[in-house]
Amino acid sequence: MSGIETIKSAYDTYLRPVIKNRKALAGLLILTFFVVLALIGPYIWPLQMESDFSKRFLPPSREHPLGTDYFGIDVFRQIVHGTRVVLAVTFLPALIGTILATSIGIAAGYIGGIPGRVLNGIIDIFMTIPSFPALLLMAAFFREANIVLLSFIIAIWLWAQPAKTIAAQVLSLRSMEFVEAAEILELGKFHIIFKELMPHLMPYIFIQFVNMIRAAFGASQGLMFLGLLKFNPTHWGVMLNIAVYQSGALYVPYAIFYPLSILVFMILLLLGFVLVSYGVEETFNPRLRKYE
Amino acid sequence: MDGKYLLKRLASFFIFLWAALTITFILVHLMPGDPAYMLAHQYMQNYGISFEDAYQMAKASLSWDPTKPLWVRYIEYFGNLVRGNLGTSILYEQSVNQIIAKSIPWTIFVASISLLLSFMFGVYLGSNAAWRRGSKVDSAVFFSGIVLSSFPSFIVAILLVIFLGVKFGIIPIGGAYSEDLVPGFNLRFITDVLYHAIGPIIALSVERLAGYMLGMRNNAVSIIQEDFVNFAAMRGLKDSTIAKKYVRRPALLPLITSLAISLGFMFGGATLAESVFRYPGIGYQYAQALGTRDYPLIMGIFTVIITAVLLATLVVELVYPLIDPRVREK
Amino acid sequence: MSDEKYILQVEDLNAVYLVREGTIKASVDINFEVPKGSVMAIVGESASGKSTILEAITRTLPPNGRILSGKAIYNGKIDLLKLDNSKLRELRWKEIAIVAQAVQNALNPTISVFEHFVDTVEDHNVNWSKEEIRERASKLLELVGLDAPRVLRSYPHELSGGMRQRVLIALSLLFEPNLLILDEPTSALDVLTQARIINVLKDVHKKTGITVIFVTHDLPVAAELANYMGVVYGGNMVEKGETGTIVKRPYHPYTQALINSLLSTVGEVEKIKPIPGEPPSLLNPPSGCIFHPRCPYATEICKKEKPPRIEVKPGHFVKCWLYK
Repeated sequence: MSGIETIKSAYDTYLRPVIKNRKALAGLLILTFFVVLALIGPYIWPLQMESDFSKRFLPPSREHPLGTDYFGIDVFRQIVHGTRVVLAVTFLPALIGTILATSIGIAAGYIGGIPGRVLNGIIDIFMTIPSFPALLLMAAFFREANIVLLSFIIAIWLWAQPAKTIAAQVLSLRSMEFVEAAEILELGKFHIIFKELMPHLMPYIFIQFVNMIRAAFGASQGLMFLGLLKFNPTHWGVMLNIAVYQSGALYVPYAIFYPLSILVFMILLLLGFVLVSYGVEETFNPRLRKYE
Repeated sequence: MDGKYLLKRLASFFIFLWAALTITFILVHLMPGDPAYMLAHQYMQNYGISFEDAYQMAKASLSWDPTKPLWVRYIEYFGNLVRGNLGTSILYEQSVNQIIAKSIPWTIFVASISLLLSFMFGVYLGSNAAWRRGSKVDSAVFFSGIVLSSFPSFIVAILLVIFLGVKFGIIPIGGAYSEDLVPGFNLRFITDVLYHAIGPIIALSVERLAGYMLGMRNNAVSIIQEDFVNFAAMRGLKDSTIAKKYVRRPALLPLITSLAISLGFMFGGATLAESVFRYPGIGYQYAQALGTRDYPLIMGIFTVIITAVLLATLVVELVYPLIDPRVREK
Repeated sequence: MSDEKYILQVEDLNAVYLVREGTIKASVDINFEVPKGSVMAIVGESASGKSTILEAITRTLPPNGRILSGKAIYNGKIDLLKLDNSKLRELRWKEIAIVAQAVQNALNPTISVFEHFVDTVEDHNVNWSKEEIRERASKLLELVGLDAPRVLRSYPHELSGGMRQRVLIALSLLFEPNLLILDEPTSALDVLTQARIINVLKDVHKKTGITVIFVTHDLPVAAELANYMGVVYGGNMVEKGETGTIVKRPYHPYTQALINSLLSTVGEVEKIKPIPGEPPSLLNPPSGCIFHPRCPYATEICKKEKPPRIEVKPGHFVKCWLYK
């Protein structure tokens, strides 16, 4: 198939049905808003990081739509600026995690014998180690991290469960006739995996990818909130950490807009992920479809 | 259930435990920075002693001797573990075992109540929604489920502190009980404890409730489409019987597995909520330990968490066949 | 036109399924009568609408199914289609028992076979004690050739497909109903088990004199078990009459083609002819007679107007312009 045809068929198979689903559509709208915000926001509202303690904890005004923080710095601009990092640290781990889960999952499901069992064992072990404490453990040992490093650290604790699902799917697909036929024809392992198995696996991989985005968001925000390593100070989790733990804004009644604004943005973005996640699952999981 | 199955499960439990602990060991040693070195510096700062003395202290409080080669450390580590020795905490200068023993009850208290409540309500609401599929109840449940899913524990915790704690003073915002009270089995203390537990419990429950609600609803919806439900209706069975035995029961079973496994994972998951409320459970201790690089405590708690998870999984594997006939081995 | 010698009279039944693309006309002007004590087979290819007839009569259509018109008169008195839900539930199983098609999944996997019997008894306000239930269930299971004590305490997944089918039949006889309706009783089974089930059904019919209606795509099975057959094509019942007549001297061109296309151990290979063409779309059915696109005798009127129901022999009906 030519390139354009492949893209079009991918659109038809994946994007169109998802868009038809109302929840997914709503979620995608929210996400688009955030992506646009991340892309052009920092240009429209550049960051102003000069501290002015006399302007501490100001309530929202025309000059500062969401008020100011402990240092008198505009909160809105910080949040807008932080959108980029937040999105990056959410998508990148999900991407890495998906690649890991897909490759290891397919291998675990397809390869038999001892190597197969070893792979499955590795997946199981990573599944039983509780991911958030492990993530915290790893993060704490690095004094600071950049986006890429952090994404890898998070991804390590995301891939296990999806890998198991994928492996299970591969296992059940493997015993089906078309795979047996391909094997008899000695079409080569790569061909079998990519041409025969993948089309059936794509919906599952897609669902797992979307779920991983949601999980990565929760993990990264939680991690940053606990303030265990140095990272970009406009990341919302870091902002929340400063707000709650370092500036005591929680306990000062008139300063509530500061942590509240951060929370609102977090909830909104998470809502977007949740909507897309459920929408995608409904679309690709035939049992959940409503009758026409 | 026969002994062979039991043996197999026990064997895999120990193998997994060993593997997980080994990975932990590897993780800690792969991380940048030498724990003993950093510990020593910490001691130096805390106690104003020389580096050599501090280093000796560090050696003593770790589960292994940092001057020995890796594989020797590994053996020492496991030797200590098997004996139940988890080292000494830097921060508290108590044995790690003691600290864990003091904090675990609080986490168990708060986390199990939260699990129970969210499970019961979630399952009830979810199955009702599935039964009345397409009605207002269904939409309401589904909608609130999605919205509530966007409120992870720390967000709820902070909101609770802001609104109920600081603004309106309805719930206390720190600790497990008021400091001026003496612990004991009197009514005043118990109500105070419950009072302090409200915040963490709610914070932990919101996301879980949404999860069980939607999970149960989805399960029940796909089960309702099953042929045996149809056949039950054709046999003239009452709606209530069908709802109870033919929909709820099959839908519930997989959820019970996840409930049991959540019991194991709850130790790690409580970290965020406990931290916001400064609730002295094991999650809070974990966060504190991480913040102060208290290696023995970090390792100790992590080990306990892993063991708890594996134990919960083991229990599930042994008990689940008793309740779901489909899983029983011949 | 109610007649007490018929257990069931279906008149002008029309049923459709609603789908995104339109309506699927699954049952079109269905008419037939089933005499008491007989066995009637409704025969047709897959997706010919034969199961829809059962679903409509028993009011078990899926959520997107609609009965547009028609009557299903039970015992000369009650129109099943107009019965209210609570009375219908009472009738269900006590007088009319239905055995579903999906044998694999018709039993609740989380309860034992015995509990299925108990559930059915309790929900019909019948006052049998547990021991009595066990006794009756055991007798029924033996009737269908199963080892009662073992089967009663088993769970569905521990039984084979054939055994589960027989459990369903035993369950259906619990209250000694007047009418037993089966949807594809032999389809999901291997040949040996099929033979067993056929024998069981024959046996049960002989011993109890119960009226049986069953749907199948397997003509030989129908021919062996049934006194009467109704042939369904494209949602229409094109022929209905005694089995003997239909097999030996079929009237409708479709029935003729159907009989001819079967493997006969005696006949020559050349005589076997599959029917040319494809089954009609129920979404956009052809005009006039539903079979005209594939009918070797089609004439102009066949393409334009639907054929009426003509009684070519007493009790034998055909929907074909040939016999006008």
